[in-house]
Amino acid sequence: MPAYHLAFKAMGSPCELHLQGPDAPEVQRVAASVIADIQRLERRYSRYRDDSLTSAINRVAAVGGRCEVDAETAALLDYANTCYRESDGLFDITSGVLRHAWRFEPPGVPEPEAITALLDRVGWDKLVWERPCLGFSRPGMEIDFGGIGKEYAADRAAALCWDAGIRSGLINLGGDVRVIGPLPDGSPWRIGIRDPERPETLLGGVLMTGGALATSGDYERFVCIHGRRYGHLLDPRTGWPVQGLVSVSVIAASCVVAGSLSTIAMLKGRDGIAWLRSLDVPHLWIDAEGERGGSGVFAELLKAQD
Amino acid sequence: MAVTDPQHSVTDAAEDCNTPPPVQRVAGTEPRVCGEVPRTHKTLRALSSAALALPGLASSVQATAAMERQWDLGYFNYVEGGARMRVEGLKQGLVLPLGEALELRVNGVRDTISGASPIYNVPVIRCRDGRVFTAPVISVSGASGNPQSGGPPPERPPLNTGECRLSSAQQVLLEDTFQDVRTAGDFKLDYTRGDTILGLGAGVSQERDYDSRFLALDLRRAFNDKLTTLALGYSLAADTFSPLNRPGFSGDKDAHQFLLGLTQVLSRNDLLQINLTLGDDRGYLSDPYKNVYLLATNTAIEESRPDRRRQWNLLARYNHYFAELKAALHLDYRYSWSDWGIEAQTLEAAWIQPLGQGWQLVPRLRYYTQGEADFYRSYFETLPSSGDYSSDYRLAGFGALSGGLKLTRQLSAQARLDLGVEFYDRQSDYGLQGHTESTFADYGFTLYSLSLHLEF
Repeated sequence: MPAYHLAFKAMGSPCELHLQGPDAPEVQRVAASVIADIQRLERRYSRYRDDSLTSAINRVAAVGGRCEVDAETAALLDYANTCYRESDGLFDITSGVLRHAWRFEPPGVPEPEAITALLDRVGWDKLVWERPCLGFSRPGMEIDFGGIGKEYAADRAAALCWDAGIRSGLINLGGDVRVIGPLPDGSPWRIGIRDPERPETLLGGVLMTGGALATSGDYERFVCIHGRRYGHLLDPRTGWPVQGLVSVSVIAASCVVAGSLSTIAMLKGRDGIAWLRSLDVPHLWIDAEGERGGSGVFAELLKAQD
Repeated sequence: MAVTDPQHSVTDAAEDCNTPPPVQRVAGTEPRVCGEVPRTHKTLRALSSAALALPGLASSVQATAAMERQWDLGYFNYVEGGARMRVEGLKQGLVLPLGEALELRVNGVRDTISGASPIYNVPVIRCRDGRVFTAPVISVSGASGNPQSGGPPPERPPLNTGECRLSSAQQVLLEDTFQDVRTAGDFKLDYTRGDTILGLGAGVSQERDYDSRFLALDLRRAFNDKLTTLALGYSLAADTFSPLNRPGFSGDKDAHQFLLGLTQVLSRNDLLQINLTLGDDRGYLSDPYKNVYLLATNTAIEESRPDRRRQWNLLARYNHYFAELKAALHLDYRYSWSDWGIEAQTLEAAWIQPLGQGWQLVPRLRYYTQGEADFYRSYFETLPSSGDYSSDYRLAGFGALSGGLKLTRQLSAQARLDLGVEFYDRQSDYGLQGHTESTFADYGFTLYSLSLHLEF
């Protein structure tokens, strides 16, 4: 069975596509449609592009207006609403404005007043979301699908492949991995988990025949000021970077769910450890002291480390 | 054997839930969501169902997490105390997903019933000089057996002189010659579309003297992010009773049942369910194997019940999940009222405790109390003018304590073994509602069950 591998760059991250199917031209055609869909989503939802839908919504948000959104965006907003509700307000797609206070250029901690002023423009509960209308109750707000878009793209890619009859494959969008199905002989894919403390080495590999793996962490983007570590993940309720964990990986049926769970766990800080345990999903956490723990395949992986 | 005690629940679907398989070397999909035991964290459920609403995700998530086919094989053994009834049976069940929207369930059961069962009660007469009589019985109509209490004396002492009086009663049993085999099968087809599930079911059950056919429809719809589920149901059973002791006679009965149910997820770990059912039975509702004793004529004659019964049932169920213990508590309260005058209440608690390593233990405790039917007496002086009379111990006022223990072992990702034992103790004195004493009818049973559950 011909194997098709492709490395490309999308959504600001290195990506890989591995597909296996009986018919090489057909597999290439599917791969092309997958790449096209990922690029479409990037064009639509990237906040770095002025011509994106997200930027258009944010221009409405800037003046506290209202707008109507299409079905796909509505479904993403519904999903964001669920994340906000299930995380008690920690996972909030409006928290992006807080970045203005935490530029770290030059390194320094922002004035509390600056954060308080920004907090007034943060809060999913300050939006009026009545499908298909999205309204902003005050000017100066922003939304950002950063925590959902890439994972959604990975799940869609897997769905496109599946619907095209491909049963063996894997898609990796910058560390968000979705397995379409096992290798043609039924054996699992081996997915390497990078050691956040030694990025050039692997903690080990997990074997997957289906489902998704997502990782949230701020070990790549943080600064140390007066010996304190400040990451890029901000608590939308306080405006300050969350403390406690530096990396969380979760395995779930879909990449969107794995991604939200790992992000919520990070935002919960040390409380995320017990919360992950109660979820009963395979997970791995690493805290700021370098302690690590987890369950399922990750527990075995850590055991093998010792 | 046609009529069974409402208490004899051989299966209890309340914790018919898969325990998560032991962690595999290979991570696949998340464990399947089970509605009864919140084994899957509510957050995980909420996010998963919200993710399925994203365009283009449903097909592949469902496809990779496809429902597995399931097969259940179960053996049960039911024994009443005092060498009364025994029931032994085998059950099989098959769940077949047919594509993404349809699911077919097929069940079959075959059981063998044997043993003695009570027919009527004779009064016991006590005299001041210490003599004790059971009242004489002239003829037993309908019952195809001899009273076990030996030959009755032809005479009984006069009861109006103050010398002798009626003190209690004792049961007369149909001798241990009774044996029957029940064969039953049913199927259910569920069609899922978005947040709505439409179910259609039908089944048949056959015994030597009793045939039953049923048809059932139900509609379940989830609202409010799947936190609220509304259920509507209707079923119709058409039964034919051809008692062995009345050649040439058969009685028909139609039973309609309507259900309205609401399930609400209250929080991450709490779930509340309220079900209201209305049953309307019409036709031949008597049990021709049961007699009443008439003191006026010293005879036992066949019982006679009204030809219609309406019954309301209310079920309130509360489930709480203790995340730190990974255990679930189920509390059930049932209230039922029928226009035969029987009012009943049940309180039941079950604790579902996974023990790790694929073991799970479920202890269960149940208290039941019912008041007697308007036309029930343990025996009758004369026939009541209403024309309805029964001495069936199941229509008496009584209480019952029952409990059980189920041990589950997940043998592999595909196989699970369940071992259960249940006891039941019926006592006239346990009843809460006012009733005439029926201690003579007290009995108990034990039920052992063993079942194997496979997914393939």
